[in-house]
Amino acid sequence: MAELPAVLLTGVGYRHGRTPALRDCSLSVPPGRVVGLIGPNGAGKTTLLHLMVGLLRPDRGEVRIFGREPGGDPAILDRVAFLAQDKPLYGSFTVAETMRLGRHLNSRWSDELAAERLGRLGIPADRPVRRLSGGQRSQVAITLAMAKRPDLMVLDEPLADLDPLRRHEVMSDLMALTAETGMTVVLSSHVVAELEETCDHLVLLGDGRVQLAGDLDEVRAGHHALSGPASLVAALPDAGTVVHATRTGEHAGLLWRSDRPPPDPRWAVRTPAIGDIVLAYLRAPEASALPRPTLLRQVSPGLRPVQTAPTASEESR
Amino acid sequence: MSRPPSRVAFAVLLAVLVGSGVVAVLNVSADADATTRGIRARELARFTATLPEPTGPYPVGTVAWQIDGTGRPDPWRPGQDRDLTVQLWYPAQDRGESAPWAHPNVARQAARRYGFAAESLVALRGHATEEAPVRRDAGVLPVLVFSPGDGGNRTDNTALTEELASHGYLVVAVDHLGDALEGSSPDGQLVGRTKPELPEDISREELTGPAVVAQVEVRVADVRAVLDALGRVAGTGPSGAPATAEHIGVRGPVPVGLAGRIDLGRTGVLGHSLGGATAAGAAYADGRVRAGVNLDGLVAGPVAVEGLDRPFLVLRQPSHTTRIDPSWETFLPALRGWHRVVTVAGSGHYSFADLGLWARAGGVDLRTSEETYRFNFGAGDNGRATELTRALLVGFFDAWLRDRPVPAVLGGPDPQYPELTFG
Amino acid sequence: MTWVAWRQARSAGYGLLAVTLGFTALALLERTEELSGMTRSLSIYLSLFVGVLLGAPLLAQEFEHGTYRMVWTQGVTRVRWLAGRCAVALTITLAGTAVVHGAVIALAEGGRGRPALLPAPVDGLDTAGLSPYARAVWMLALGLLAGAVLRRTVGAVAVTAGGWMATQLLFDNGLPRWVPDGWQDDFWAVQLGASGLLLGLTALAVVGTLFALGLRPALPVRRPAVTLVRPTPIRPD
Repeated sequence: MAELPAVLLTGVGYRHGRTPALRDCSLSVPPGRVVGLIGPNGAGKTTLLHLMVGLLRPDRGEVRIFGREPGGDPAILDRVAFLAQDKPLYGSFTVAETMRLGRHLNSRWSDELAAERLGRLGIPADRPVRRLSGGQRSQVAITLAMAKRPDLMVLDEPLADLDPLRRHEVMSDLMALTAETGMTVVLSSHVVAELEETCDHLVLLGDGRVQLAGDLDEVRAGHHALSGPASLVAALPDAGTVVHATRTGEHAGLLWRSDRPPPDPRWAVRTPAIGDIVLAYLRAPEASALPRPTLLRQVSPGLRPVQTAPTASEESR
Repeated sequence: MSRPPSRVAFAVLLAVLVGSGVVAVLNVSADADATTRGIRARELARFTATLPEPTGPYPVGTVAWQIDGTGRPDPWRPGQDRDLTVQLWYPAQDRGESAPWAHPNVARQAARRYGFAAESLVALRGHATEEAPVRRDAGVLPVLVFSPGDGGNRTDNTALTEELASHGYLVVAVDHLGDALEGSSPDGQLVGRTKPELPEDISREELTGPAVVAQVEVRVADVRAVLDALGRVAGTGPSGAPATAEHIGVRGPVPVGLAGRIDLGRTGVLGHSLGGATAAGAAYADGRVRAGVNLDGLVAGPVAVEGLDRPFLVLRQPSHTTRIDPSWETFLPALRGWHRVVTVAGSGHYSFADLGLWARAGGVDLRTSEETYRFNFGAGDNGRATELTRALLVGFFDAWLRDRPVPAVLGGPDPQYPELTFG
Repeated sequence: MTWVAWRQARSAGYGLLAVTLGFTALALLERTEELSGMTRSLSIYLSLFVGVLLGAPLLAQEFEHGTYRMVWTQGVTRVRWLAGRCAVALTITLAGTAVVHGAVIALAEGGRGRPALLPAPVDGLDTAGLSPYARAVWMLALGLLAGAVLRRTVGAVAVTAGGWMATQLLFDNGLPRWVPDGWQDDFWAVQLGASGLLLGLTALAVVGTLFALGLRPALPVRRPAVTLVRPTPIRPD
């Protein structure tokens, strides 16, 4: 049997009161990936992560973590760690008590991991959390999530209040744990640069919708930076989609989505950096790699669509 | 690795929960009991109050008089003369219909104060016949003035006063009007208590303080006024003509055969509680008093320090010690005449009053804690305590007013009276 | 879970301990100064402290500080976590009430040979018997509900205090009028009636709290069209 996706969203919608936060989001993350969830502020990243860890329930659609509904299921709770954006911890607990809490509430807890990491970072165990610096606090919260030894770790802007050195430490700790345990990581950021070197899977969220999702290599391979005369734009093959275009006089620069570069040799074709792709999508919030109507000319399903929920017939195959 | 500490916390939690549960169950059932007791205590007790039969050789007669206090201002009722009401008991020629224990006005109000149904005391009769002629063969009558306790009424100690009368004494109990809670005129008109109240939580030191001394002084003066009035009645001659206020300041029928038989040369005083202090004070202040008895009362004024050179008997309940009553610390060693301090085991403060005989039947124990009840009413039904008190009083006054030998009951420890200790 | 719940309730527990010590001081004062019945009549405020110190902040603080996002994503379900916290809070509540009503008031009223008498069942309803316990539990539950709904400590405390006053009004004016004839002198009937009412309110508050936390009692769940629920250990050990 195929390995169950670590995260599977099918047609998820969620409203905060009357404001729609997420619309028809579908997503599948295979186990073992390090997923970067990118999107501008207010795109719904936090809502999406809260849905993944079961803090919220979708109004529409379904969320499955390792095939199960998150939130109420102790088997999933034990396997999923979450680090909220503001790194909430009990301020009156000491660091040691915070770890003790982790030990009491998680059956796979590793005291060794917690002790090693806190010791390495030089965080005093007997100090109340509220008297730690912001960076130390974040480290304690990250340690709490790591020592749980989850199969899926969900981190909401984990690096936001760390200095560059600490960022590097956190990421390398995460990578080491991933390498050791094969855990899946989903981390959100609005800074593209810090994800590029660590992530192998990208989810781009814009305005409550998944604009783009896929392994980094596939995303790169499916996009082409084109440069050439503006007159050629109209003649581009129907098998691709212009994500974003800039025009300077007679010259046009495009990000073109297609599994093949355009045949016309007058286009200068370059493989775009992930940052450029993300930027292009952020500039064109209506652009989507998903098969849906957009303002852009769309001839045929371009990039391989993200894996949607397998239908019953697929599963039975 | 994670479970043991939590198990400790869980065990502690469980223990606290169980402990709280046990305390709660005990607490709620105690509250249930106390509520039930409260319901019963607030109901008026319905019971038949009785008084023990006098044991002396004579039937008893009784009569109430008003003694005019002309010329003596009443400290408790400003602007008035200090009138008093007295109740007399004496050996009677014959036994007739027993008089009520007290006038219905008095009985009703006292019953309400004790939490008794009114009938319990209104229907109560003593063993004395009203205005019965004085016993002809009883000779001249030694006089005993009885002063009841603080707030007490003249008939509050009828079990004792009737007993003494049946043994041949003229007993005169005083309503210290303004002090007595149900003070009344001879015809039953109530006179309220207007005396300033002593603080409820009076300190040990204040017990001998000026407030108490002043109140005792008024009572001592009352006793002396009664002796004066008796002297005037005694002087009216043997005819037995009804006395009038104009002549002698005494209103009330004089029983046939009383005039001329009042022997003030053999006078004793006795009293209960604050009346005991009155007895000691009167014995100190008035040379006519030849012997006195203090029933479980404190002592106040100069007598507390200087003591007495005349025979004096002190009866006490076991918890009335010098620890709670500093006046005895100086008074008892200063007794220079024949004296005894007799402790009546199992008695309480009101064992020396009629109330003690009714406390249990009247449900007083429902309204008080065991400790308070014991202090006030002792352990039993007070029948035996009354018996002993009667024997002690009769024996004491017989010895010191009638020159009879000191009886065994007063002589010292005696196997016949195991409840009594001396010292 | 027990340790965590106790650790979280610890400061509120100490607060309630201080309140209990305050009542003990009152009791000693009552013994020496002849302030008859003071401790018992002030004991009605114990449940206010329970609601305000223990009940209202229990959930409100989790929301206010966002820590619910941390604790609800540990390996223990929300229901178990809530059950653990409620069990500890309930134990503290009952212990505090038992100490004040079972020991401190007895201490206050045991001296001076004061009669061990209580007023009629209706008059003693708020200071004696079972109802102080029921009331404390009710205030705890009301605090929980207010915290779960308002998600702000100050608001939850205010609502709980308001609820306490309403309850006092119920004790002073409502219940005495509703007591049926023939129950007036029946301690158990009056006590069980009032306690039953309060525990009924408690049950409503608990259900309301569960709803507010999104823990609807398990209703028949629509089976999803696609079922991927096939527990396969990713890393079998």
